[in-house]
Amino acid sequence: MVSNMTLSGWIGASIICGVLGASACSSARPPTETLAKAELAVRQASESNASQEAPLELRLAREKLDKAKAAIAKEDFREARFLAEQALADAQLAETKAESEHARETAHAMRKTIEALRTEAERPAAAPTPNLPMEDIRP
Amino acid sequence: MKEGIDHRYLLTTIGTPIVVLTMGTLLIGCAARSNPALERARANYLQAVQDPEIITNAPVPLKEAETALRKAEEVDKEEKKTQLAYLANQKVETARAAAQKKMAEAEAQRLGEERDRVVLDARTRQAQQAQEQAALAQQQALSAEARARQLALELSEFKARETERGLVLTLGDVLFEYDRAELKSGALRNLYPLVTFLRENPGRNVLIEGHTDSIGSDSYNIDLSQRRADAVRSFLLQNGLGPERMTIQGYGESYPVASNDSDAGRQQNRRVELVVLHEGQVATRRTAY
Repeated sequence: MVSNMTLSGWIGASIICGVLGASACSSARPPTETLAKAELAVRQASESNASQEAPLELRLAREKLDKAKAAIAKEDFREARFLAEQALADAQLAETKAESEHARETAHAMRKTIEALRTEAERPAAAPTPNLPMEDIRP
Repeated sequence: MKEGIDHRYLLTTIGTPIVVLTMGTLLIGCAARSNPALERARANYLQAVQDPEIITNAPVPLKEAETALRKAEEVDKEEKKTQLAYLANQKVETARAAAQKKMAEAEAQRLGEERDRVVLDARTRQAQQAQEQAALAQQQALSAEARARQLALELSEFKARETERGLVLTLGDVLFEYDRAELKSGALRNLYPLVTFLRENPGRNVLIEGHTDSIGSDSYNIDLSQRRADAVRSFLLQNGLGPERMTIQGYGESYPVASNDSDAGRQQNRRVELVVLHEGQVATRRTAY
């Protein structure tokens, strides 16, 4: 965007920036990078099963991403930046929650497997158990 | 353990309201009251840093939360403050989730090792059981063999001899009183090894034959020899051997084993012969001696 500006426009923007301060300056440009990051994070979260494990966060992230894009279209870059930043944070939270839940489920399944193995192993030798499900549980 | 956490920040965080109240009112004249979103985010952060699991397992999002909080306190605009507070809060929550994830992963790792151990134990136990069973079987085989030897030894007291009819035991005249058909009580004990042998070899049937010397009439002697054979049969029946396994026959004086001319010879002829037939063989009357 900056490269598309004319020299005078660039100088003008710089002056305005100087006058209004850093925060005002950042509002003058569309939050392209943050938006890209947020988009990527939302996609990753969707792929990591977050729709089931963290549906609220994922929905918020998607909505904010859409609103951010709409804000950019209306050239409300400040609003767009806020929304993109929030979408990024929401999506990252959603993905982490999904991963956390996945890890918990793995541990739970493992515990069940161990229980089953123990029950099987404790059966008396009279009922022979020559076929432990070795193939299923081989690491 | 508290890597990535700036402890000075904790101090400044706690000190901030005082600073804001004193400095803020005097110099800037704004932000006398803190932003409620920021207050909540700060409280959430302070709670999270109390948890060593979060500090250990999720230092990165916690650090990000800290940075956002600090920025939020530095900016003036309420709108920006609220935004940074929101981001900080989400980072704290992300830190919580990340910590839970790490803990669950560590748990899964530990359980995986435990599962491998359980599988190994089960395999070891199976191998052990197989080994024990083999050892037991071997021991049983050995003791069966020893027992067979012992029985053979005990049966040899009856002058057992292998013939083509089977194992022939001669229960001498000493088992019976003269002219009587009741087994002497003392003689019973001698028959127990035989009982044991027959019990352990259920496929071997028995032929019980009575014999006498030549004194007395033929018919009397046949009757006496039959009664003597029957006495042995009764004894075996009492000791649990099935009647279908035994056949008795009284032969009287027809099959002498010695001369009837001497006392010694006649004593040898007064006898019960017990033929333990070969495995699965059914008793048949003897046709020749």
